[in-house]
Amino acid sequence: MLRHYLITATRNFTHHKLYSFINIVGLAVGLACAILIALFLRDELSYDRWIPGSSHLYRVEMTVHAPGRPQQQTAVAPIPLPPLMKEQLPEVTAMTRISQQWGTMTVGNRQFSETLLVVDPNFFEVIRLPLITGDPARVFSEPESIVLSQRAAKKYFGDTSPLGKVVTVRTPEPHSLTVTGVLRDLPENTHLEADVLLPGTSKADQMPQAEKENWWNRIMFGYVQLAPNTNPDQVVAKLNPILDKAANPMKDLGLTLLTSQLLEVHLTPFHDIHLTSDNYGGFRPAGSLTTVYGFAAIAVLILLVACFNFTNLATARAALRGREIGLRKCVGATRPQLIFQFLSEALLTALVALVLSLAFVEILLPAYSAFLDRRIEFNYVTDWPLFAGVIAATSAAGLLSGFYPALVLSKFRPGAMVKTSRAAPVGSGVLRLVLVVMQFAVSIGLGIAALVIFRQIDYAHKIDMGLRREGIVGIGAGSLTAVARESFGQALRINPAILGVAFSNTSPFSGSISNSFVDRVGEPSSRTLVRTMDISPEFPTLYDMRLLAGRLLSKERGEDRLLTGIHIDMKDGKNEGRNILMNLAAARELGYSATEAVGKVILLDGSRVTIVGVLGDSLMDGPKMPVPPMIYGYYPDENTEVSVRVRRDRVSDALAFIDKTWRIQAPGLPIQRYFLSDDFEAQFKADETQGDMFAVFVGIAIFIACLGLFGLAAFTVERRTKEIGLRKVFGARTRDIVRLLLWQFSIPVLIANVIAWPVAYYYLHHWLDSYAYRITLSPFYFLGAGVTALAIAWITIVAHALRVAHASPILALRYE
Amino acid sequence: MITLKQLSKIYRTTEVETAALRDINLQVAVGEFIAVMGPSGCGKSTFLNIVGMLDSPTAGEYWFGDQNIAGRTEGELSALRKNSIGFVFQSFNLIDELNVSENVELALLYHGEISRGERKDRVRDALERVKIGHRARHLPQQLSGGQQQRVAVARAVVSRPKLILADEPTGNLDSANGEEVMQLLTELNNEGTTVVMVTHSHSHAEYAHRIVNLLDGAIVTENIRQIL
Repeated sequence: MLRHYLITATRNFTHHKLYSFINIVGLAVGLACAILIALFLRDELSYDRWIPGSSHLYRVEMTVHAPGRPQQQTAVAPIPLPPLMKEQLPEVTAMTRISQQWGTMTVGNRQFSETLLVVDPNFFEVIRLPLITGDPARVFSEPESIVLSQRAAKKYFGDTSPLGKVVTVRTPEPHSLTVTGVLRDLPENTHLEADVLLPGTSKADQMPQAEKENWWNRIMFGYVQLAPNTNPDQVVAKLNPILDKAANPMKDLGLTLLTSQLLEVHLTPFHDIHLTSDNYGGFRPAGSLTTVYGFAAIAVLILLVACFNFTNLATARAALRGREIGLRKCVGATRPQLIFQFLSEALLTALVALVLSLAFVEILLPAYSAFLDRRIEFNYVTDWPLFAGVIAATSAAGLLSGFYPALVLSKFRPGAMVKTSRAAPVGSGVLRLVLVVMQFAVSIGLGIAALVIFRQIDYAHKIDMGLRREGIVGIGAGSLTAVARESFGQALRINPAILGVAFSNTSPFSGSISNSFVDRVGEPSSRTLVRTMDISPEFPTLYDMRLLAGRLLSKERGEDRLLTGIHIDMKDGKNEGRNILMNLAAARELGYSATEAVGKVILLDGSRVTIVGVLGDSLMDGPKMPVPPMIYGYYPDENTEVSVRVRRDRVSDALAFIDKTWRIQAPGLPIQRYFLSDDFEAQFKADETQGDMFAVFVGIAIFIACLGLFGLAAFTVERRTKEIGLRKVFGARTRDIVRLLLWQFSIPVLIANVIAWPVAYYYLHHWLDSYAYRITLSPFYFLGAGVTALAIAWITIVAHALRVAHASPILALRYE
Repeated sequence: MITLKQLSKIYRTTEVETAALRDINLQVAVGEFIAVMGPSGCGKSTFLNIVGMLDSPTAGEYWFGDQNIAGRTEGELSALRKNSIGFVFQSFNLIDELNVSENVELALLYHGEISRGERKDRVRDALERVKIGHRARHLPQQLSGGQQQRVAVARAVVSRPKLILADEPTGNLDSANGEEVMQLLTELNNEGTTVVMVTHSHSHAEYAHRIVNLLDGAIVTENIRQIL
């Protein structure tokens, strides 16, 4: 009997190739998309879980509640905090910290510019990254030791073992360190990035010891290990009074706040770091739970669209088999036997689609991995839960699509069904209508989302940042002295390919933050936190920043030059009476307009300084963050970042000259240079990847929906051949017939719009909140997607409509 | 074999009530050949559907042998049908995806007790009987109308039914093929199979022992013929 069902099913496939193709391909594409998205999500959710002993590990993070400022989340903590927790809280069984620094590595006669991870000596015991060689408890027992990744070891030493070898690290003074361990190259799925690690006890650590005891000036990434079954919220609750005793914002910052009110501590589970720390810093661009949920929803939606399609077409086709079913009943088939036959046929079709979908996935995986810039694999054995889930989804699709027609058709009396060649009624058609409506609702919703996402990304790219970022080459010159940097800048300026040179302690979009407190003299209640930046006088001009009132700082005016860096504690009074600039946001924080602020004396970390100019607001953190209130001071000793504006038509000449000049100024030191626009673009990379993925999957959802509509249209037109013939006999023209059929299929699309619009609005409104500067949700996006869906639906079915509208009515009336 | 007592079939919608059959009283003996005639819409097909247990009467009794059909479940009717009744339809009703042999075998597939080997043998015999064995692997689309109807007859007899119900079996055939089909039915009847045939054709009705005329759902006349 099973053999008979198999033969019948197979012959049905081959006899009705178009429908079989549409049905199988539609479901296969939907399954393939769902599998690919599931692989991406699995990868996102796998971050850091592979590190042994990390299930009780937490990162110590903060939300800063500075007076007068929106709260600011950070991934870092004050340096003394993790040791304080270990010392005072028995629930904290271990702690370790990481500081990211930069230096030059010398190996033999070769130099490399590297990111250095300066860590506590117990780092490998707390965060058990895989050491290939070296004892985790002893790799940093000597201060002047260093651990290299496999990649770094190969870069420096080739295939020879690096153990025991000596490297020189310039920070900028040279320090000799011995290689005591080799770290296996970290896979993609970790939030950590580590090629060169050295202990904080080393002299190569650039952070002075005094700074490590300061609660307010410096920060590090801190991790704590909690005892099993400890509630992290209870740990934080216990910590707050301890924190209040350990640090004193009143004494140190002049703020009448408790430390726990100023710094809200969080313990983020190690495994959740990757997905919960977007927008507030980390070693690498983080993922996002919003993205995970969003794509999970897309996978489910596409699968639903494919399943709706599958069910709809199977139901429609099944109706044409009424006569066969009637006949089978005549010869003795029982209802359960007929149901079983339909279900097995549907299941077989679904399984064929599954095999095809797996083939699609195998073919697309390399390109998909390249697109996502990570290694995505699908192993049927180790990924058995996913594989089992896919099989379950496929079986569910098959059973669902077969069940309804089986149940409905098998109950009809055979007498009527064998007498006629007309299709048997399978339900009232409401189910089919609902399924088409749902398919298009999903497609329209995704289409609106894609339009809005692309428009927002485009808007953010083109928004007036308040500074001009194109054509700027950034150079990290921290390894040069202040005099050498100035000399470097002078040498660059003479080249005609270079339009200007400026200096600063940090560059725009770098994410580097320094803050200070300002208040109006005699009004401590006006105290507010502002961002601070050391710049050279040419900086605003180089970046085309608008001067709204007053003047720029000048090298010719002695009082324009600070005597200590603006981001360092100014309570020593050395900068008393000096001049600064601020932006409009800072002026407003202090209650001034741009012109009112010029000439005002304010307290900057306790020192009286004069505002000589107000610049327009600049989005130093990119368009996702609101413009920070900024204070700019001129302190050349801290200005380690060089910004060079090059001529657009002579970029390669300019770069060659920059490199040559650097080699003269800093022989033997590798140059760190980059395009500022690359830093800017990096902010959007994740959004652009998401947007591209969205566009692809929207296209696929629409494709599947149209596939189904095409098949359904063909079926419907076939069923109405006689009716259409009669209409033509009684005077209907071709265009009347076409209009009739187009209108029939327009109704579900119009209903789909009514469903899709409010849902899309709700979710997109929430998504846009992640942007400080955002587009408005114009009705045109919704109308555009709706009209496009309608146009696509018409294009899909117009061929059928024209074919039958042109057919001779005589043939139609001979139909039966 | 068949006893109908005051049998009626009424179709009801929310607005209209249609009596397709009214108070039919009829007996068909084992081995009889009955032709049912009447104008279109008189209830011939409804009559055949009820006799073939494809539909249920609204009122009255239907005895098949010594079994009262009224109140039987779909499963019981299906079992009775497959063991006792063969069908021949006007439009042949062959399944396009199955070849000739498979179409005939279909009537045996739902008999779980017949082995595969026996099915093959019976199919072969049935095809030989109707002289279509040489087209066993062909699909219905590859056969003429007469050939298709012969396959349908083979399908009807392969399960060795006691009763054959034929609903205008020659309606879609030319006269030559129609005669062939009538010969087949007659031979089957001569071998003991009861045949009830609906037909428009008077000449084909002459093959029957008795002609029952229906009009507006009721029997108006019966002509008993004896074939000498």
